[in-house]
Amino acid sequence: MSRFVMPSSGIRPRSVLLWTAVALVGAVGWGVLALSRGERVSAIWLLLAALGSYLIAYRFYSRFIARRVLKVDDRRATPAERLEDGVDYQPTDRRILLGHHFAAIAGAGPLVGPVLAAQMGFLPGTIWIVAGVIFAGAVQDMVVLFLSLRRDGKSLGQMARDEIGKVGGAAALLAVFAIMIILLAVLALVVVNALAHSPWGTFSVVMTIPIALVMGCYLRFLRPGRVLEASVLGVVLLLLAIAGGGWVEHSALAAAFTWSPTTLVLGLAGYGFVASVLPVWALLAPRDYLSTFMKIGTIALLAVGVLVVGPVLQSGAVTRFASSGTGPVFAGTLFPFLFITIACGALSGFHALVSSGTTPKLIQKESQVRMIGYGAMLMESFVAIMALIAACALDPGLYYAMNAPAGLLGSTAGSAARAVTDLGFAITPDQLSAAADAVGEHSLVARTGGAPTLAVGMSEILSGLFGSASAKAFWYHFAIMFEALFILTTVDAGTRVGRFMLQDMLGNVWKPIGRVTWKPGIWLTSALVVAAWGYFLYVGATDPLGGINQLFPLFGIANQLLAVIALAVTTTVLVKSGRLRWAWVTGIPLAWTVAVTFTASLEKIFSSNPQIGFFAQHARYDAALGSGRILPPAKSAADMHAVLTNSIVDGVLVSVFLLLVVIVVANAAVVCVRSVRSRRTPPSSEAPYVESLIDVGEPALTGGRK
Amino acid sequence: MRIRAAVARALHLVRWYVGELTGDAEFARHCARLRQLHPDQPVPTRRAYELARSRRRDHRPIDRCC
Repeated sequence: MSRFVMPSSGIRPRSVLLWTAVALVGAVGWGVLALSRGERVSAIWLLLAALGSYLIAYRFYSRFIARRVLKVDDRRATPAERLEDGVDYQPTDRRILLGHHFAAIAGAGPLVGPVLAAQMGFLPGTIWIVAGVIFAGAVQDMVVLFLSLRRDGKSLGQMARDEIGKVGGAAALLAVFAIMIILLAVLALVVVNALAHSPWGTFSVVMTIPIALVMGCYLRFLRPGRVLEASVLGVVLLLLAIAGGGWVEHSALAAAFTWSPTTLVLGLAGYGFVASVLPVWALLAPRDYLSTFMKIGTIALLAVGVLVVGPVLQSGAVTRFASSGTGPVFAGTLFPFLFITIACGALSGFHALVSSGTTPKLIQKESQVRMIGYGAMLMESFVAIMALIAACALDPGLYYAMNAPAGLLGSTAGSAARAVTDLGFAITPDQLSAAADAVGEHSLVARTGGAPTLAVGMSEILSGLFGSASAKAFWYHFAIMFEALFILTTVDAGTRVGRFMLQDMLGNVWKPIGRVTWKPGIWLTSALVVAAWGYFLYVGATDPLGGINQLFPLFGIANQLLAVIALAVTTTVLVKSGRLRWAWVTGIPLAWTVAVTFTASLEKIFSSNPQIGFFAQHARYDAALGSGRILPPAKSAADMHAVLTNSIVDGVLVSVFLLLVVIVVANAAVVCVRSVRSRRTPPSSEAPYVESLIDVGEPALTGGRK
Repeated sequence: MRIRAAVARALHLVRWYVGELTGDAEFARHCARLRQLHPDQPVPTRRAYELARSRRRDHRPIDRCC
């Protein structure tokens, strides 16, 4: 092993002063948040606490991990340099790669989870988002990226197979596929809930399809490769579509775009199938460009809005639902359910797939894993913080009227206001109607899923930023469009990834289906993937108990279980490569995530509380049906049967996820114990050392002390 | 003059960043690489290059997270 040298050892007074100031600013932010009880707290304190913590973590903790734990070596050529082919492998400027990686990891997850978690107050969510990203989420992304980088860009599944063994590897592959199906279904459900019975929203989101096709044709036939020109054209058309939606809502066309949840489910499934089988240039690539532009632009706009407007947090620091577990948005106490509700933004297992996908094949220098892996995840965490602010700045009465399930709220402003008052919050039917009018919607009652709530919060902030309350309706639909665009891009890309995975798996059984150019194989596997997530989407959209209420915990558990797999692989590699003393860096987040996900899964399976346990829920509705009773919110025997089927399917699914992850973790533990006992470092699975010839014009970072 | 130069530099930086991020600059880089490594081979037209690029993307998943 090469001997590592610290590039500089002197401590500069200016640097000490700067970082002391950053630490003080962050500490003051946390102090204000911690000590405020009942006062009106400005969101600026929350921002300062988060930003101060991010800067300190990036400067010190990520550097420690890079130098001491991973021992990055910039003298070692990366796969991008060694295997450069100008296609898959090519050294890419780190600032560009940071943009690509951020666009790849940040979707709707960090926007939706924090909005739902606002039911427990702003403090628990803030602490988890900030501490989670610093000690778990960003660490996972950075370490997976580094390990994949040292293995020529191998995927998480391949690394699991190589490092843990065949059984663990196969379980990991199956788990990844099953987990992805649930992720796609729940994200699509967020879109369905945001667009149901909303002609304005539906029209503007539907218009993104012809807009993407126009962009695709522009890039294919008129001006090949001019992505910037096509994206500017797309953004202009998109803004016109949002403005046009306002006109459609008040025209004779409104009825044609007023869709029920079931119609939206069918539309989304059909769209997902077509997007998966069409060539990438037609729909997927242009939508992806559009989504990336909107993502970066809108997040920057929201950050400026929060800083300038400085909204006041109205939700309270910690609500009673944190300890009672009886919250209407999702059931269960703070531990473990807050930590699965907020996944993306704090810790997202799905990122491990991106970190072991394209990004490691493009990195110029090993030390850049710090900026790209750790830094991009901090940026996503900042997005989650802004979503939390937007939700907590809303009047709590309005928040619960939007996020409690329809079964509890009823369908009118009057019934919703009564239900919210029963929960202990105040809102009148007139206030609810006025809030809906202000954003150009017929009703905001039971608009669950997080997207409409975030859109209302964003419309408050952005109309405040531009000083025009009358523009609220535009900004609301702008935000809905922005979230739907994210989600539909993930649905497109996810269905395609799922199709490739299924082709890969089924190809082992029957060779032709594994060929990526064989059309019947493409159609069949695409249809299977769409049918799988489409089923859960349909179930969620028609669930009498509220689809988000039932399925979002599954989404969180699934995503965090994927993080368990990623952290188990990284910890195993650290132990096997003779870095047992540093294994706590991924081992502690692994232990925490195992505690959270296993507790949540076991509660979902075995809890005797029908609000939480799927099988207890099944038993309750089964007994009622047996004695001829209809239990609200079910309204008919058909509703009762739907609850029975859904609770069994959800319960079995959580059990299967848990079983697969237990296999991976147990297998990893056996490998680690064997490795420690043998006292010999097994042969390295890293690619051989080749000296780098690339000079990036910076002092080489060459690992840490031995 | 100094402000003008700074603005010009910033604009250049933004243009470069957006061009790289969108992949607009990929064709120029590909041609430069081809001329350097295989000077005997013809440089493709932009249309041909972009067609080949999108065909490659068809057989490769796109990383997009939740």
